[in-house]
Amino acid sequence: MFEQPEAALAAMDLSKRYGSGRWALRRVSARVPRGRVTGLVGPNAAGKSTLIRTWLGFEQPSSGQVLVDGIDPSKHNAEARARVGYVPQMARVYRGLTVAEHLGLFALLRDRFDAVLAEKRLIQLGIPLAARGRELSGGQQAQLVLALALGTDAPILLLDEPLAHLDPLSRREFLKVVRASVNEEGRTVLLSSHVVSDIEQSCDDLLVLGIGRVLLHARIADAVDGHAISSRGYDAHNVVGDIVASDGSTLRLIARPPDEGAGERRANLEEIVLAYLAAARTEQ
Amino acid sequence: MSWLRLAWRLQRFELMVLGAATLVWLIAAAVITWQLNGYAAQYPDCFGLTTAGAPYCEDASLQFAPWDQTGEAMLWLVLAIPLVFGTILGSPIVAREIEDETAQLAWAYSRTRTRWLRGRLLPVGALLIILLAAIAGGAELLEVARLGGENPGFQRFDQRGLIVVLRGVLCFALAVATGTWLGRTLPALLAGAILSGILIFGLVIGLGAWRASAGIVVERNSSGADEILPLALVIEPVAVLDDGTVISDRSAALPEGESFDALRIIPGDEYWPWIARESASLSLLAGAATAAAFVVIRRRRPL
Repeated sequence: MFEQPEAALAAMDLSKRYGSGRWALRRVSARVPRGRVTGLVGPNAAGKSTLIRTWLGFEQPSSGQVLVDGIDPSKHNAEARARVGYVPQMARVYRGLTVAEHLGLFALLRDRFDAVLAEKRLIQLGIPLAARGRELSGGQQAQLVLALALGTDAPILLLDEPLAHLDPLSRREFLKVVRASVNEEGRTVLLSSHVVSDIEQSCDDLLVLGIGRVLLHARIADAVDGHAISSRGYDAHNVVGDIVASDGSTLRLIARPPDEGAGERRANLEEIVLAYLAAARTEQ
Repeated sequence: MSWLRLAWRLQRFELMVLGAATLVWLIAAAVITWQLNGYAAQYPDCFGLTTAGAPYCEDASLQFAPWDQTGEAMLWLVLAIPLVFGTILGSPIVAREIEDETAQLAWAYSRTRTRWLRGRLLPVGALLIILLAAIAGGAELLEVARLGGENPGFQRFDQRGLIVVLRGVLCFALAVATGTWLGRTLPALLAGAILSGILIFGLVIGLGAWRASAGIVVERNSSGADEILPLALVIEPVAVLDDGTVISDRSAALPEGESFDALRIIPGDEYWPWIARESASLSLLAGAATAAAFVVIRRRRPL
C-alpha cells in the first residue's frame, strides 16, 4: 500500500504551535536515513519531544508534514505507528504489573509482538520477570521499555531521551542494545539525548535542534571532519559561533576543515554542538 | 494476558473494595429478606395486600417492623450505589493511564486507541454490571419480602431491578468520558459524580413530568381502587371538581368543600412500558457518553 522511501522519517516544513502560544517547531525539515542511528540533540524546549511525538501521531502539525516510512501519521495513524517502536522520556511502566505481565500486555496490544525475544533480552540483562514495575530501577524500566519496543517488528525506533535519568553503566548497556538492533536487525533509530558523548558513542548521524529549528544535520564523521576550532577568529564567512573553553578562553568554530598551518585543529562533537546552540541563542 | 486480567491487575483495589461492599450488602439483604419471609410465612394473615387482620397481627407487625425499616434503609442505599460504583470504576480507566504516563506506551503500541479503550472498557463494564445486577436482584427480592410476598408493582421501582444497573452504566460511561477529557483521576471522579447526579436528577424530573402528563385519575373510594392502587405509581393527590376539572395538590386554588380524594397514578400494568422508557433513556445517555469518550481519546495527547 505504501512505497518505502529512502528516508525512514521525514519532516517537511514542519511547524507546531501550542494554542496561540509559543512555537515548539518552526519550519523544520529533516530526513532520518534508514538503517542508521541518528542522534537528536538540543537544549530543553528545543522541540525534540514535539518532533518525536509528531512522528508518532501524538501531536498534529500546525503546518507542514511528517512521514514515517512514507506514511503520514496524521492521516494513517495506525499504519504509521505499526512501523514505530517508542521509548518515552523517563519511560514509565505499569507499577502494578510484573515484567512478565508487561510482555503479555504488549502481546495483547501489538500484533506479531515477539514476547520470547523480548523475554530473552530481559533475562540477558538480568531483569527479573517476576518483579513489579514499581520495584525496577530507572535503568531497568528503560531497558524494559526498550525490550518491549524491540519485541515489536517495528523497523523504526523513536527514543525520546531514554538515557536522561540513567547511571553511566545503565546508559552504556542501553546504547549497546540499541546499536545491536541497528547492526543486526537493520532498524532505524532516532535517539534524542542531552549527552553529546552518548551520541558520539552510538550514533552515525547528528541532528541538532535549537529554538524550534534544525541547526545542523550531518553524518557525525563528516561534521567532525568539516569543522575547525580556531582561537584567532578569522574567516568570518564560515564562522558558526564562539564557545568558552574550560580555561576561560574563547574558541571559534568554523564550518570547514581545519588549516593546521594556521593553528587550527579539528573540532570535537561537543564543541560543534555547543557552538551551533550558542549561535542560535545569540541569533534569538 | 487478556483484557479481563489486565482490568483486574490495573483496578484490583477498586474491584476488591466494591466487590466486598457488594457482598456485605447482599449478605445483609439476604438476612433481612429471610427474616421478613419468615414472618410472612409464620403469620400469613397479617402481611400482604389482602390481610385478614387477625388479633395477633399487632405483635407480628412489631416483630416485622425493625427488619422492614432496616430493609428500607438498605433500599435507600441502592439509590447511591450506581453512582458510587460507576464513577469509582469508570474514572481511572483512562485518567490514571494519563496521570501515570503509561498512556504513552499503551497508545503508541496499541493498533488503535479505539481498540485499546474498547479492551479496557468492556471487562470493567461487565464486572460493574455483574455487581450491580446482584444488588438490583437482591433489592428486588428484599422489596417483595417487605410487602409480604406481593408483587411490588411501581413501589421503589428505581431502587431495584434494571434501572439500578442502567444508572450504574450511565455513571460509568460519564466517568470514563470525564476521565478521558480531564486526564486526572480525582477531578474525573468528582466531575463524573456531579455530572451523573445532575443527569440522573434531570432524567427523574423529566420522566416524572412525562408520567404526570400520562397519568390517570382514580378516586380513592371508587370500586376497584383497592386493586389498582397497590401496584400503581402514585404521582400526586388530586381533586376532581363537579365539572370534571382536575386540580393537583400543588395548586392552592382548591374550591371550598372540595378535597383531594383522588390520585393521579400510572397503573401497575404499565410498569414494563415505563421501565422500558426509562431504560432506553439511560441507555441512550450512556451510549452518548461512551461515544464522547471514544471521540475525545482519538484526539487527546497522552500526557
